[in-house]
Amino acid sequence: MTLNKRYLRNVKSNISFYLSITLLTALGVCLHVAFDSSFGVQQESFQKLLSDSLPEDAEIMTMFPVDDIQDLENEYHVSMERQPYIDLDMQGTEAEVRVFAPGEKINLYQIQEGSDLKNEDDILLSGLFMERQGLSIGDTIELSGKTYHICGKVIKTDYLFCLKNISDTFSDGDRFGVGVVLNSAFSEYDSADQAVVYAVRYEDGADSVAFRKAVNEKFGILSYVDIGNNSRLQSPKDQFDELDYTVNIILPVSMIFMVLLIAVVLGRKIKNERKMIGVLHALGYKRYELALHYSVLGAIPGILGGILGILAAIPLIGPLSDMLIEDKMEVFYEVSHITPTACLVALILPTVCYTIAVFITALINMRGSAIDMIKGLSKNKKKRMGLRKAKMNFRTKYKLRAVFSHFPRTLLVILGIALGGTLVAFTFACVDSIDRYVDTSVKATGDYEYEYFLSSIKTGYPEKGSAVIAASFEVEDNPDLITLMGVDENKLIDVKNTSGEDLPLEEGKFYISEMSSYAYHVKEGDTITIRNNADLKEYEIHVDGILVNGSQSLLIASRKTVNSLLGMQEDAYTMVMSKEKIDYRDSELLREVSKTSLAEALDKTISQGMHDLLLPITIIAMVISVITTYLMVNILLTESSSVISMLKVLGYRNKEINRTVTYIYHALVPIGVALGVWFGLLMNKLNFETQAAKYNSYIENYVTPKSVIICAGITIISYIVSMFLLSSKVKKVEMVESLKNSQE
Amino acid sequence: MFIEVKNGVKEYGSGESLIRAMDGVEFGTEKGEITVILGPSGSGKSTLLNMLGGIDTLDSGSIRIGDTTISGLGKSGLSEYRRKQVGFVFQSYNLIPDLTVRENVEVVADISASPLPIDDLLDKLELTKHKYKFPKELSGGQQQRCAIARALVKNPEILLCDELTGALDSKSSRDVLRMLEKVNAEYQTTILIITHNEGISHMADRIIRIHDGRIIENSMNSNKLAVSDLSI
Repeated sequence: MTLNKRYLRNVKSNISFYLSITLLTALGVCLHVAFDSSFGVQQESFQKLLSDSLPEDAEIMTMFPVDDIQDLENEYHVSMERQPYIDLDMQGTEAEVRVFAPGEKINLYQIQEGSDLKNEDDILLSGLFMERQGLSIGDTIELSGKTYHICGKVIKTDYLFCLKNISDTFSDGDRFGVGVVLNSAFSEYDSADQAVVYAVRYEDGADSVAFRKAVNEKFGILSYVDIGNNSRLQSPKDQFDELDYTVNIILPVSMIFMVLLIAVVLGRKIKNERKMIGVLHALGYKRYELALHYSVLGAIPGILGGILGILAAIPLIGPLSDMLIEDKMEVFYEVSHITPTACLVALILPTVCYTIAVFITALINMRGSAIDMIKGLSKNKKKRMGLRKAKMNFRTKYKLRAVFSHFPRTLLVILGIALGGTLVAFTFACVDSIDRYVDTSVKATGDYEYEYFLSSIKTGYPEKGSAVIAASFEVEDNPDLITLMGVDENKLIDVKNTSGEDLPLEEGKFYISEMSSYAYHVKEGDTITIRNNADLKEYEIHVDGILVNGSQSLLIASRKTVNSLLGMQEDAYTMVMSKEKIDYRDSELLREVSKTSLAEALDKTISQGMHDLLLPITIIAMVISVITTYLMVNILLTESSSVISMLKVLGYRNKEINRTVTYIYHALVPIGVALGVWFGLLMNKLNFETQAAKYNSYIENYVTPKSVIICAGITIISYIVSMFLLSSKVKKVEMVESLKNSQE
Repeated sequence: MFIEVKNGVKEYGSGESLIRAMDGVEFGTEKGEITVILGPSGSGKSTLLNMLGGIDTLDSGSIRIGDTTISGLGKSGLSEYRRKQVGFVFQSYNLIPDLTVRENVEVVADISASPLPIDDLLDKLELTKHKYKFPKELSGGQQQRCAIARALVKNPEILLCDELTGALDSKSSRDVLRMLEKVNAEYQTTILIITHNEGISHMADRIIRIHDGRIIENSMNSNKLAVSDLSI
């Protein structure tokens, strides 16, 4: 119909408004599509990888070779397979390659690139290791004297996060990688003195405890590592879970919130068309015809914003994928590409929301008579804030009434200011909480600098440092491990309760860390059952107090108490803690950990990623904040155009008009900032609580005063920028035109 | 002459849709005169008023008010002119809905160098008992009187009234015009009233008729009547 010619004209005459809405929509869509696509494809890939490669549920090391695997499998509904490997030095480097024979039932390798093994001298190598070593498919390498031809890149799910030792904290692609050779090639390394390691998969209904008891009785379990405690696979899984939360909960919720906010703003904009709606209604247009006509004005920014957002997302997907996943682990089958579902949602959601909002607003506006609409009369008696006789300047009264008598509009402005602040506060709180977690988790381990894990049990007292007896246990049916630690009275480890009082290391007394208390729901006075994860022997521990330590899963007692519980000599120890470096021979140590390296590792694995995200999220949040505030206050200006026009006629200067009409929401900025910070902290709390439930670790919600000030500063700067952009709007209000329309 | 318009031309649109709203308009009025400008709809009355009030600008010609040639002023100059010298009263009142009667008047007093006492003014315009009411709580006549108070509080040299009784019944119209008469007598304000109501022209010192953007009559009114004697 002819009426439709108005669309373009209407958009042209309100170009900054529609442009803002379209850009904000595009930004929301772009974020959603880019994250969803870059992460979604990889997640799909990851799930496919898991189902294709049949990763282990547990790794068992036995004293004697298991010779009746078939019987065990049949009796206990498990799959079991020997997983021999050998560590070979790579010629001319300090790197080592852990070489495997191909498995048949569990931990099947997947070829990421290149071709499968054909010849005796073919080797498949992990991609990240090849990249760090500057190797390509087709190159040759020499491993402990033997030359291999690299035929492809391999992914082994049991080494996705490529740690040499399970207890290591971060993977070092410069020094360690994995490779797979043919069985016939591996046979020359396979020998009886190889570690006897088995991978196990439990089928539905399998009784893992009975199976482990049977294996222990017959073959003696030296170690049992549940997949939940094996960070080689668990770490990527955890990262995917974290990203899953961000991508599939936080971003969509933010986008939905943004879209709803815009829908409301659009609705208010259409409300200003009431006079025109009245005229058209009087001319004979039916209610639904007009509602449909106006709803197209909502659909336009929805569709345009959706398309623009998708187009902007395309070049971001690759780099985002790199940033989120690719640089950290090897899980890829496919190059990231845009996902149709994300595009569909991005196109449909804003368009439908905006269309419905405008449709409903138009219908509501047509409830009165056409005459009322044309005259701008409303049946709703708007209550104005009083202050009639208050001794205040008229400007103050005007601002107060504009704020409180038009509360829905005011609420929109507050939400607009708070939206960007929420995102910034969430990111800063996340970073602060993680930083504090990293700091406290390292500090909470004690006042020592070095930990030496001995290769054999010693007795008495070490020449240097303090003796510690330490062993890992399962807690009833929970596969997560708790460390039972026996220590002497010393200044290296603080044994204090949550009130900061010393807990006496008396014989028979055990204390549980705050984190374990939270994870296992154990309080002072309760009893906790722990189980040796090798021989499955159970111990009942009475908890005499809660140890202040929110980052470690720990049961602590005197060395004598722990040794007595485990049936060992009372002065036995397996670990030495020291402030100074101690020179041990390599053969005396299983491993050595320095607190500095632990802090660095934690910082690298947990904290760094969030720090990397700070700047991009802050920029995005600022853009969102500027546009939303601009939109909200723009509504105010549209609705106040007759007042602005009249003030111009009366001789008010633009600056004075801005001071009176445009800048009425300054006092709301602190509320918006406070709300933004509060929402951000709330989101962060929910984030960590969700993760705590998943991983049995709790990162306390924390934000530094400095971060709060930065968040407030960013929100205020965004507000100032939007005010600056809006200040020119007053100049554009025509005196003559607005006066024609002004009739309350 | 206190107000002098010379060869004022104003056009809107272009090509075939070009409209010449003012076509060589020339007239003048003395200080303190009441001038009524009459003409049918679309004759260019409001355009002329907008030019005199500094709301719009001429394409060619000149307008002088006292010592100031306003047709040569830029946007900020016109704003200062409106701020200091002109008062406006419109048919649709154009009061600020979120402000009470007194506060609407304060809006102008606040930017005036030497405003008249607001309460005295409201008293003269018989608005004292309504001064704490919002515009919506007033009748049309009361709203228009409030608009007059707002226009007068700066004690302007010129008061421009655009169809100020257009939305009022005859009693309210007479009340409002009576106020203008009183103001003119008390403050010697030069008043220009635009209307298509012939009856109002009898209160004028000078009557100007305008048609198709041209002045077709500019004469002194030798039979000036008091507002109470007008038939409107």
